Amino acid sequence: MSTITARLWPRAALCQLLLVLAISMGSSPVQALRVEEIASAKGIKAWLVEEHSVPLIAIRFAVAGGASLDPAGKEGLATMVADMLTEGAGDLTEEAFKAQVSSLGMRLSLSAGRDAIYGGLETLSKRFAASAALLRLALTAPRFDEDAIERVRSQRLADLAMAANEPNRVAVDRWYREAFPDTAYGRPADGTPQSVPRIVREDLATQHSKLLARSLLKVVIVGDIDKATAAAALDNIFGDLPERTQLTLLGKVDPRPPTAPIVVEKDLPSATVAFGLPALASKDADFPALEVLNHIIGSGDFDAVLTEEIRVKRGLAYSVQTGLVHDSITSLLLGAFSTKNETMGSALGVLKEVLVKMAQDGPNPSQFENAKRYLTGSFLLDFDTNAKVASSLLGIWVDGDTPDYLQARNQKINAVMLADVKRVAREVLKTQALIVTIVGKPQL
Amino acid sequence: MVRVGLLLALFIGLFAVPAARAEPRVNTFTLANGMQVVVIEDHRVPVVTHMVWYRVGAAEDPWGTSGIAHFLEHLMFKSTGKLKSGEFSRTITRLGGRDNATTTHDTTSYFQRVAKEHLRAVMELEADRMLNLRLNEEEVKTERDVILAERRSNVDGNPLSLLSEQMLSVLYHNHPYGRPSIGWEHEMAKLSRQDASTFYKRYYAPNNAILVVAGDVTPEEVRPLAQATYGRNRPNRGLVRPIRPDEPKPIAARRVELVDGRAGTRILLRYYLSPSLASGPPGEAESLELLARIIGGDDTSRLYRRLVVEKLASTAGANFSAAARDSGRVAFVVIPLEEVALEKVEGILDAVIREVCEKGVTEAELDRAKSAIEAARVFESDDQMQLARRYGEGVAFGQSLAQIGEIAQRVQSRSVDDIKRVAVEYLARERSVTGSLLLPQKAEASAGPQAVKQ
Repeated sequence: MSTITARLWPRAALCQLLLVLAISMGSSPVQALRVEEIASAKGIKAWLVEEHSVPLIAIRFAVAGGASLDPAGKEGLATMVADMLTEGAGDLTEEAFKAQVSSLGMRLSLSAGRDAIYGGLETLSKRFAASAALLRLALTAPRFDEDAIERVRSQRLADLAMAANEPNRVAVDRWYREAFPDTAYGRPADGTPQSVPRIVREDLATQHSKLLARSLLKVVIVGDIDKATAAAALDNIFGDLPERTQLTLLGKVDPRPPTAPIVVEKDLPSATVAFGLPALASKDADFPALEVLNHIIGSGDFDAVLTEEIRVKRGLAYSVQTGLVHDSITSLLLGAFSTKNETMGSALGVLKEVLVKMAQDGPNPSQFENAKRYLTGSFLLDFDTNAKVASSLLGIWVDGDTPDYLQARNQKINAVMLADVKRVAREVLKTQALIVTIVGKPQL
Repeated sequence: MVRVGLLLALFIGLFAVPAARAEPRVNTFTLANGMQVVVIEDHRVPVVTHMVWYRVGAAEDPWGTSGIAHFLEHLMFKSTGKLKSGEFSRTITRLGGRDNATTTHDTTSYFQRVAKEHLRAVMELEADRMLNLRLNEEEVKTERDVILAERRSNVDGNPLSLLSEQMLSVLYHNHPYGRPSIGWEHEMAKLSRQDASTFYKRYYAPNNAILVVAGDVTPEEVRPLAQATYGRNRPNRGLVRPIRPDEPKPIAARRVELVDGRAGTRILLRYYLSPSLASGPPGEAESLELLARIIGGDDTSRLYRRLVVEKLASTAGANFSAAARDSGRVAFVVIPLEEVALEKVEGILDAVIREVCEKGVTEAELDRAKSAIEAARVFESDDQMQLARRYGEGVAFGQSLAQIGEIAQRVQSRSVDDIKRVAVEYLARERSVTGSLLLPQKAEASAGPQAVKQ
């Protein structure tokens, strides 16, 4: 499966990337990166970065909706639609389609996130035309052959069986179910062993015709390509998709108030916990302050308070991190770590103490300054490959920002005052709102 | 690694051989103290990737102290004469940089990624901890808990990793590649400050290290910086690397069985002992890479068509691990569907391998594999980190820049006869270990690992 596995950044990972988007002191290094907003003859908009030093082209795109539009009882539908796009299209059978992908050496990836379908293409520039033609075919004319459906279904079920034994995934899936009990957003994007067998060809074909609407599309193109070719490629690849969707996008949803920690009992040497709080939307004026706060608490760096308290001082866990998840549906501060079953209770105690103390006192001035310095200084590190540039830019766009964000971001972080972070800490770090799910046999 | 999971190189990811016109500009020179420097130019954004590679890894762990190379890697983030404990990474973070480290059987590498104006600061820090590390008992004890936690979450908590660990210990009779680089738990638990200190003094020196700087720099910029930082470190004139024992000729196929209630599915894994990129004659590893791709590299491969398309398995693939000094391996993995017997998919795996050994591969298959590898090499060249790793690792294994650069052409010049020959030579039964990950009988499901038989 290796040719159809381009690294795509699902929403959460995009957020992680964005966390470290910031511009370094004074000179704005992103000026090296020229983002042009282009539009095709049919009016499809894209962000383009021309970069001719490596002979490859990367495309990343998102179509809003994704798994959050799965009908109840058919969880996993969007994921299976995405899987099926590369299982034969137009006149090309599954075997013929994959033989072409393989011969081109292209990376083609399509997947469903909770709030969008994500797509990615990387190919040598000399093979761009043929690669783009395959992507077009995949998006507009998937065959949904019964035989391939059955195979993809059995692969999905096998993946689910494996995932049921990955503590991280179980903890996070369970977390979403607890936090959003009555919405599609709380259901697993990959479906369940009960829902996947119910999905039939008609479901896939119908959902496909509704999911991929041009009005919900955002495209970023980066690499060894000129503007005219890029614009023509937009119409060629996406031009025949329907303009609008009949589906109604899910509105905003907030996590519900917590209950006692949920334990999924499994006989494992260590326990894994997912924890999270409602947070601020990326549009909120205080969001930059929240980014600074999150970095101070849970960047995973040795500077981070949780790393210091849980790993360095007590050796309780190998890694402890928090991240900001913010999409069109909700905004969260989520974190996770693993520790021995016997020490889970005390590790959770440390976590709560850290949050309470931070809410009360805020960070100290040196933590605050260091976080700002990191967030601004590390900006460029996510812009050093064509594929990363495309992913990072798509994340910025999906968040509702413009290319100006590249310049504005450092100013926003630099404008954050210690008092802002203290205020946000008081507002967000409410331990009574903490939803906690644990996999293992923890002693609490 | 200090912060990210220790990756068991199973099947994930493409292998790093390959070909394209986009070869980067690479230069090398050596400092008076014996430290080799490699500079890879990439001027797209003003960022640099700075790496130091030590030619020492878990294969040098003295008997009874498995895991010490990796443990020392963790401890390298503690104090030096100049820096307080943890100050190294804190400083990098404050420069807006990222850093981490990796230990393999052959190398221990440390890297930082920073804006180019901070290159000198980073070089000063890394040159300092090469010789001036200070370890105290308390920190060593706490960090030992961290590596034990790392082992629990990355190996013990993952049945497939456990199976692979058991198989490698059987694949290698004599070579230290058979010991896990993270260490055996009972030995890790006893690692001491003295063990780490002895290892450090013995192997950490400029004449056992390679500096790689990739990014927006030129060799002319790097040379004076390297001289002013690393150049001041005194070499270890008495440095002797222990001889690594060779493997005896393999004469018997072996089997390993792991029953683990935590595994979601049964898995069949097979390893064949082979040369690596560094240990085989030129072209051998390239042929093996093409072979693995054709048999199980993607959805067009023979294994995928015979097992997945025929609805016997959810996953079927092959992979060649080339990145090692003394030995590589060809690996196969099959995850059968629930109702399909493991013996059945193993029979088909054997049949596919037999066909390739008897009849070879087709020109069309070979062309497709070459084309895919050419593209993969360019994707890799898009990424400073991967470029720095390609060259750092290659030089650490004793290859010249020319040899590393020629891999691309060597892949393209392989013939169907080459592929058939390496299949016959290395996919021989007696070179293999077959591993089965099994679920317990229903009644006793959910327990941890129950039995390991060989």
